[in-house]
Amino acid sequence: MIEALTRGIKLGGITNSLAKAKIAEIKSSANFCVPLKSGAGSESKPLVIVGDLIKRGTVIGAPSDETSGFVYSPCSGAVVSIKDKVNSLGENCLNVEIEPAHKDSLLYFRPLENRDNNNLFGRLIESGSFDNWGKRYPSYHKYINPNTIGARTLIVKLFDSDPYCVSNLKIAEDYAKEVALGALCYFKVSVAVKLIFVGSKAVSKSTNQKIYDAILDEINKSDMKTNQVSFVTVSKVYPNDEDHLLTKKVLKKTIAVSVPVSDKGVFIENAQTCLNFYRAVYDNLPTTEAVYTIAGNNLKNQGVYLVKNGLVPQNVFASVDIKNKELFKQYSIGGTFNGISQCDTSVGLPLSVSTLFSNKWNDENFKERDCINCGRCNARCPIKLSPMMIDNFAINKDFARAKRYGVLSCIDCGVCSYVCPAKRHLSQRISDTAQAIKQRRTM
Amino acid sequence: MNQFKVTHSPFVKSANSVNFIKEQKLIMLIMVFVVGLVMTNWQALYILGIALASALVFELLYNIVCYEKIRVDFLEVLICSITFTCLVGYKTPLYVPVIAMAFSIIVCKMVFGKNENHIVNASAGGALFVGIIFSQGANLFVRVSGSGFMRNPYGALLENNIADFNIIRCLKGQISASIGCVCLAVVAVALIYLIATHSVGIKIPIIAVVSFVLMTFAINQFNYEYILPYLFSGNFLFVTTFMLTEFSTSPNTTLGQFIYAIIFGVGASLIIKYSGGGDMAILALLVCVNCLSPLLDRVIRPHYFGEGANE
Ligand code: SF4
Ligand code: SF4
Repeated sequence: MIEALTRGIKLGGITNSLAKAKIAEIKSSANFCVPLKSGAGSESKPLVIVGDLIKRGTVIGAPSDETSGFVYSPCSGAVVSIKDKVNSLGENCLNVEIEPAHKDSLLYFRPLENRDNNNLFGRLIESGSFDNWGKRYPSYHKYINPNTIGARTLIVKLFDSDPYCVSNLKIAEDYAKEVALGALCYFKVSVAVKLIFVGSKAVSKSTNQKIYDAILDEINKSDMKTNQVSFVTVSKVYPNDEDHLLTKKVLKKTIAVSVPVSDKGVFIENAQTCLNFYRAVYDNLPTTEAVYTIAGNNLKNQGVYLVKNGLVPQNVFASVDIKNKELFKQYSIGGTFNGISQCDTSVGLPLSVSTLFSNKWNDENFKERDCINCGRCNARCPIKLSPMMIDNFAINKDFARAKRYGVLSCIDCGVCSYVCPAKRHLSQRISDTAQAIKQRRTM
Repeated sequence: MNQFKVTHSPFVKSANSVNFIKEQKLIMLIMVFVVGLVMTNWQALYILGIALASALVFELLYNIVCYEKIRVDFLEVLICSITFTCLVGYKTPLYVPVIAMAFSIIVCKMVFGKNENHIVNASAGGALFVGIIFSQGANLFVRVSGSGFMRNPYGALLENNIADFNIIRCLKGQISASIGCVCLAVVAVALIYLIATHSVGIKIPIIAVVSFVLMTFAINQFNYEYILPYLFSGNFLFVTTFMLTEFSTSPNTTLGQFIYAIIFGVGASLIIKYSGGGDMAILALLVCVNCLSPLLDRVIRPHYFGEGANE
């Protein structure tokens, strides 16, 4: 593993084995546990009751406000329970447990008669396709945000900067045409004037070229002007795909982290959301599954898998052949550096993340020592914060100084915790402090 | 570990731990010490033994008295005692390491600091303290040569004739000096190794050496012949490698590190020019820049991404 002398981190090695992986399906006949909340948006309202017989694609949750979305059944079967419990991201919400039937039948959306903006927008809301959970907004919310100003640019990420995740790259490779058409739908919905596809330098030039050519093929068939579309490649430094950093890299535009980039006319989607939108519009399919990278040195078959909404980790692990079952008492979900560390293997997996990660357990990673003042966290923080100082303020509950030192601009990337030789839980405390400050602000 | 945990992922962490950093530094110090030992006199082992034993005792005593805990950080104690031994000559009287270690551990490490975080480099503090009390302060800023326990032959060399300087002799360790500085080739190797293993930062040593070289060039009528004798003079390279780069006593912002290293590099060059390369003066300079470091950390606050951008 090589660490580059850049901000953020650059790791080599792991993606080489994942790069060859093909998207495979996880087959499981166990019960699904579908969470009605999978991000910081609100919880959806349940539309089913215990005992209901449902088909794959049946609406089981409807939006309760503009920050929640539709939730669809991932399989045909019977609703066996609706319980309030913690979801895989550590939030309390209603979970719908579904016992799958032997025969799976599918409910489609009604076909779209025409694909003008309004219809597309309606379909986007219907599709239940969420952003990456890190941004915590259902996709469509930003498009109706009255704060949006400036020329609109749509950026489509064809990569993940997390070195242990290749989900978007694999989707772009395997479904370039669908991603292009999905992106065009977003382009229409967002009334953007520019569409930029962003690839990663981590893969070979020829692979990127193949993806770009396939996308360009579809774009040429559309009524879009070619000068509205461009392709950019960025180096694979984690967390390059964070919205503000990506905007800076691609558009050379600095937007304060406290402001969503969509407020400044920049919309960012990834290959996964484009594919979901394509399926909703062209195949009339509700979103019921996501492409996950399941990785870590505790897995025999690490790779890229299609994971249905609400699949429980214990079944996922059983299908990917784990090395040591004991070690699965802990796994992480939603990013290897900033994901949530979990012990419960019976919680349902959401569609809003793309990584399930299990490494051999190392108790040393938990043992915090005193800071040795090495300054590595400062040198690597992509936002140029001073995590060691903010950590100190956080420990002393000095919120005023923490704020002055930019705690609210932390993007929760986890880089500081990764590089810290004293294994200090920097990003954890910093994000707790930011939360506390935000809560006090709203009180 | 079976309780439900909701925290940022602890699974992936850099392999570079505090112990790893200390171990690398210790290995390099042992290497430098052993080479120094072979090239000077086995008597140096006594100094190390006494320094080590006293450091252990003082750290243990301090922890028992202040924290009621029987606890010793062996790696730190080893690093501190070997560094001190490397800074002195083999003829140093054996009571000197005891006093130096008492000062290092109790005053520098524990009273003016805490476990991993002290204001001045502990070994430098101890060495400077004994230097002052046993040479009545007279040697502090004057040329040091001859057979004091902190001798600096390069100072004497510079006094005579620049043409006498022989880099091969410096690198091969054929010039007498304090134990850690007799063979500067091995110190240079240690610096490269420590940088390569990320056990010390790259900025501070590089900037210190570059500013030292530029200053030397400037103050010697732009005569490049002075650069190498200055660079290999006294303990500049040893102090830069093992002490200036100590994390807890150096600033943690890039700008702070620049200022810190430049002051040291420029100051060391001036000291060698005007005092003939007194080891003690360089240690005094180190202690001064160490004291400056918390100030630099306080004053310099880097601008973060998007700060002041239109919100
Ligand atoms: S302080 Fe925040 S933004 Fe900076 S490295 Fe840590 S988690 Fe990332
Ligand atoms: S990386 Fe860790 S040990 Fe180093 S300065 Fe930051 S908090 Fe301290």
